[in-house]
Amino acid sequence: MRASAAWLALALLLPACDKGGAGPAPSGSSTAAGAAPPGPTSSGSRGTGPAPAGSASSAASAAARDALARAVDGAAFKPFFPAPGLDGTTEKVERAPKGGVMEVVYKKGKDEVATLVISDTATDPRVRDDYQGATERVGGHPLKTSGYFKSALLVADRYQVQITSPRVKAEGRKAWLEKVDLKGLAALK
Amino acid sequence: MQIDFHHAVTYVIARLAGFGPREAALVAHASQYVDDATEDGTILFSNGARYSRISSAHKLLDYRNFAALAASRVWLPFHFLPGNMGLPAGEEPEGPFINRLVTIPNSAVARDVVRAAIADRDAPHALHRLGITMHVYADTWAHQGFAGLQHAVNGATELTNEDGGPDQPLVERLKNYFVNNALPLGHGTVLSHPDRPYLVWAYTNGLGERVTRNNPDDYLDAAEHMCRALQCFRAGDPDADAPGLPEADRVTLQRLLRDVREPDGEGRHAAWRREIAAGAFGFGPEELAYVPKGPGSWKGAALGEPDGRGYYEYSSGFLASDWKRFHDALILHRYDVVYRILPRYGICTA
Repeated sequence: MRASAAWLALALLLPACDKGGAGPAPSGSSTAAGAAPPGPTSSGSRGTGPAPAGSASSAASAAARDALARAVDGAAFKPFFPAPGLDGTTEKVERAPKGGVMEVVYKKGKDEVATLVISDTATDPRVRDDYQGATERVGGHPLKTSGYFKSALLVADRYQVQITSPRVKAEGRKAWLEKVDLKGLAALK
Repeated sequence: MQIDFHHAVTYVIARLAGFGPREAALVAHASQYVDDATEDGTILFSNGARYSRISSAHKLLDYRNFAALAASRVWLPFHFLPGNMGLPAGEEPEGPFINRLVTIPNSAVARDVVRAAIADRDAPHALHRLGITMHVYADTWAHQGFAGLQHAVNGATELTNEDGGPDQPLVERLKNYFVNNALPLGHGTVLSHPDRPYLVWAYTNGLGERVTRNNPDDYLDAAEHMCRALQCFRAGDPDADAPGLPEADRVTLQRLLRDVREPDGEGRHAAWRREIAAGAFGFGPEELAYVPKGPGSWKGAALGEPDGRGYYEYSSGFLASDWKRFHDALILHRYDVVYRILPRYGICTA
């Protein structure tokens, strides 16, 4: 019992390690990983040689932490997602919200028909620049289309509402965006 | 996508999914090696043993490669996975067959490929195959809208850069790129535009439609889905409720995908490795390297150098070598895609 408790405490304290990582390891992994030259610390690399090590206090991670602190919690977006129904969808699967983002998958049976993501551009304000020159609007908000499968709105110059679908066309994706509570989202502080 | 994403970013994602450094390095190495495994044929050993392998890329990763059959054997299962117009297995889309070969991000076909890798998780080549799968899965975002064979569906003109102006250097290069009115393969007509993570760009497709692409958005989406797929692999359950990227690391990735702007893949690879070494991610500072060929490479470790007649000396470690396991996994991946998964979608290909 005590040994189990000690193991549990150790497992909680230690960072992810080779044999188990942070979760259950695949049963075949130890053999595969064990025969893995070169490992991540091996010398030599493609082209330019080993990357020089930088400071352990990364500027990139600090900037991300600051940005995240300015963003709303993703759970705050939950009330604005529509109920299923469009394009024959019958089920709404909510992904666990994260800082500044929440995702909901709309399904018809086992088939994923559309995915809606609401995010706070405070995590990277450059996202707002992507809407410059937008010629279309939905509910008064600028609309951008990316590729064949994605459309997005910028609400209140801060929140991005994005729909991705492997088969709903651009006009159909607009209908999905109109179903989002855009007024409620615009009022979110 | 290029070595920056297929190796360095894939390593980051694997670490964030919970793999240890050696496992993550193996997955990332296999993911990148898909672009570097350019040789096929039989290896002859001096003791009489033999090993036949297939390639997953052409000698030059060159979208001008017009060998039609080679294209469908290499490009289609490893780089341009058919998307069946977004429909699940058993549903036949309307329209010409070629439309079903167009790559779609996170399509049902792509998710089936991930499932097949998870089903193979107890095999000795499990992590090698997982890396191959991550390469193919990631490319469904980068190569979306294009097909892995020669067809007018891949046509693209009027390219513009992120400022909305014409991409003049590219236009000049294109003038000399395609000859004899050859039909375009994959995203050859737009060269490396889909492969550069920071780029927002646009083109007019073969149907005359204007298409805008936002690579940083798509690449972040790919990273999130890859992380979930890797977590599902670890759980041994393709339907596990995987949390995906940790929130702070997701923001770091989102920002670096726009910040790392070296024009060539090697330069971006070095920049990402510097970020990893600097401790940009939650797992702390780590060194990462990739040796594609020669001493220190997977192939070098497995085979060494051939003798004057082209024969290799067989070693007892060959069967368990990363190079051999990777090539076993290539064959199995291709077999599953071409003979098991695509037929469920009514797609028959080489």
